[in-house]
Amino acid sequence: MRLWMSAAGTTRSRVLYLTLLLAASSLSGCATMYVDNGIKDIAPVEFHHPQPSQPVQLLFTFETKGTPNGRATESLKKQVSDTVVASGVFSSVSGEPVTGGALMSIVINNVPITDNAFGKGFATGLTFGLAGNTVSDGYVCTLDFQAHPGSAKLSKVARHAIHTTVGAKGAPPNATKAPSPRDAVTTMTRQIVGNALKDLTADPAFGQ
Amino acid sequence: MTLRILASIAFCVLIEGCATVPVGQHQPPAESVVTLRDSGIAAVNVGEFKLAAGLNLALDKSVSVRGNQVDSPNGNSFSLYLKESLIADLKAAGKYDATAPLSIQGELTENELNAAGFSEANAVLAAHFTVKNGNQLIYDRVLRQQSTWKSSFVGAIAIPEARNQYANGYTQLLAQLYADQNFRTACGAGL
Repeated sequence: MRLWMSAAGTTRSRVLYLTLLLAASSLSGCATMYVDNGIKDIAPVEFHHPQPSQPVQLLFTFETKGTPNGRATESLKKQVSDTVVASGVFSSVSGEPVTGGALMSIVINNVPITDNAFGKGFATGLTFGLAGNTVSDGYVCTLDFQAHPGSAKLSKVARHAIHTTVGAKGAPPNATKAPSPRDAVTTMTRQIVGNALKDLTADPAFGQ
Repeated sequence: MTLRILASIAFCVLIEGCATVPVGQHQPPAESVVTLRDSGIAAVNVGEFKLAAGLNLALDKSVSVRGNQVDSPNGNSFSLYLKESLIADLKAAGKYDATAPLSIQGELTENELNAAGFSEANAVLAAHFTVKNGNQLIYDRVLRQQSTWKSSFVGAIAIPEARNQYANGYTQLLAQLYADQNFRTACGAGL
């Protein structure tokens, strides 16, 4: 405050002060990410395994507010494929057409839950972390499955969330702290895909 | 005065950042794959894709959003990005054959990204597509995709949004091609 008062006399000093404050605020962010406990990992035995299992073609898209995000898709594509393979539901998983023509599309859409997330983060930075805040990101996973061309499409939806605390803010309830942002995203992806896939395999129309 | 200029530059960097970022590799969307798969077209080859004659070469290399360059992950060329996106869709639909007599060619005729505004941004893409059977021209059409979206004052929000929307324009441009009945007929649908 004293610095502000003494600097207030000249426009030059005021501009410099504001800039330094903004720079400091952007550097002082101390974010911790938590994965919501609303849904959990699915063990392979929890999936219904059709006999005999069939190969499937898998298409994956990650969206940000409904718009495909190519870089995030590239980053998570292998993990989504690995999750489907690990379920043991299909005999093989491929990006190209498979014998029988089974096609599964998985879309994860990142939607904002917290209004004015940027404003909250900015306020936290401006107070050097004293005004802590929690920002939540929602994820909606839509899984569409078609056993063969022309057959009815089965659709399943799963929802998840990642909470990020910035500054002096306690852990959110009902959430697990992630060691890193990457861990938070990979855990969310594994759990949301696993749950949508479990719902698919529980559908009596699946595997017929 | 120098301090004020330095401060302004620092402020702009904080708000917008300055970097070169490629769009992500095209991922075949289910809608396009199913459309192509069920269209009845024959497996086709993909020929040359390039910037249309007479256009500034820089148009093919990058677009700009608030001081950030957005470029192609395919050979630093957006016409090549369009070609690779088309091949990826065709492969995912089981409709790509590098030895087929039918081949699709393309020229990028428009490539714009305008995201300087704080409330609205837009992108325009257009391409001249042709299909040849051997040397015989059997399809010839220019398709244009214009996208508009809500933008933001905050660069950290506006820039990634612009990059995603811009890349999605290629997906939508190709979706127009796949939906064109004349294109399908040229590629052997219904024969």
